[in-house]
Amino acid sequence: MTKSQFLIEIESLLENAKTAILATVDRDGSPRMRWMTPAILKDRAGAIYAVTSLDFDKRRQLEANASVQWMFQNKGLDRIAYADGKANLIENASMRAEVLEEIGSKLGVFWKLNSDAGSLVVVETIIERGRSFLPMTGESRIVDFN
Amino acid sequence: MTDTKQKTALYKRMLLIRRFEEKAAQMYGLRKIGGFCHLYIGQEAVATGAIGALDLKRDYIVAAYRDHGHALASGMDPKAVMAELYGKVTGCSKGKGGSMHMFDIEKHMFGGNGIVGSQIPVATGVGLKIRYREEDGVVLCFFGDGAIHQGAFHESLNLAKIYGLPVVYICENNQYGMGTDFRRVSAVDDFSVMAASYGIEGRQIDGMDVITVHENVKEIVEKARTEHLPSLLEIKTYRYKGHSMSDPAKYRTREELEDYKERDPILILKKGLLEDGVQASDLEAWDKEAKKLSEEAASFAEESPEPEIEALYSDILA
Repeated sequence: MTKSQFLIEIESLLENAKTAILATVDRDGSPRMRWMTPAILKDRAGAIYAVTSLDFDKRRQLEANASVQWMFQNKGLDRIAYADGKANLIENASMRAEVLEEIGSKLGVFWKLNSDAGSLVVVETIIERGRSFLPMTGESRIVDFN
Repeated sequence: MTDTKQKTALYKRMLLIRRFEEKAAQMYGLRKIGGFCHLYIGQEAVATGAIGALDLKRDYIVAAYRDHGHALASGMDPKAVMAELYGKVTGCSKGKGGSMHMFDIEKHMFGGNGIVGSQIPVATGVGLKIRYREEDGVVLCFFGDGAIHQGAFHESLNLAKIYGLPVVYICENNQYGMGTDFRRVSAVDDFSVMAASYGIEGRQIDGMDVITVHENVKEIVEKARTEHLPSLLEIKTYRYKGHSMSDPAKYRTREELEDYKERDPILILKKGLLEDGVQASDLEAWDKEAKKLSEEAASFAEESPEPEIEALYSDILA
């Protein structure tokens, strides 16, 4: 599997399911997971983008430990992709606009939890390793992004 | 030279655009706004600095689809702009245009155009009207880097030169036309050199510094007004450096992340104002005011009525 094929697979899964699970590690080493609305941006290959609030715990967890894992799955539950990597928290006006234009219409739950429109920050995950998995056949394909 | 009072006015206008756009993004996510919603966050210095150099009693603005910032910079009521985004009857285009069609004839803001590059010949036409009626106005025509390779752009510049039209063509180069890095689709990196093909002045300007934008546009507008000269400005805005297949993504250092944070036209002017002796408490108060105006705009839009069904058959011109 190539990097491009893996990114296309993620895009395809997101088109189907809209959401994915992001796992982080908190300060005492315990895993933390939550549903997110990520996107792959054109011309920014090798990364996954999402948004969070400066007030959310996720920010503190990522500042303490940048290692993350994403899990993408289709609604039929027969296609899964995992992306391991490191997350950057990017506070940049233009970047916020770019990500919001891509996923803005799908952020209903985010805005219900976060009423401050100015506190938004971009989570950029630099993919280090990808794995595509078909649970019905057991087929697994791995791609190294480094 | 731009004094502190003028800088303050520019700062307040940029803040209003920023807070308005953040509110619009939130309302878009909450499904209050339908269709497309192109945000101007990060590019505030261009519309604010350029339009701030105009006299809108005699000058005109024609913009592209990313037009909320230009509408607010022209002095349009944030309530009418937000109501237009909501598709409400109190919107500046009666709720029929949405995000891409902000328009206000009294403010001389002639759109907001949804088709890439379509506003360039429109602006040229407004310039012809100014010359034909022997007025002393100037037109600012805004478009993105995705529009500059269209035939209409080149035909317009040629016409503007031979007729001596007072049009300032402003390419807001955010370096990504519909997600495509401009270097992949453009023969030249510096768009301002295209002006030489038509014997007009071209300048490349830093679009992150509102004062630089303001002073350059002021100078070039005066030339257009008095000498009937068109010109082409490439105003470069910043987008966090993207990755490409040949530039693999990498984990950022803390220094890089701090640097990205600082690349913000509002933060740049904020620093300048503090150096000029403006109090931090005043800056905070202006920010609160901008947030309040944006909140009020959203409440107004929320409470405004939908257009009547009969409105489908009015304002039809073709």
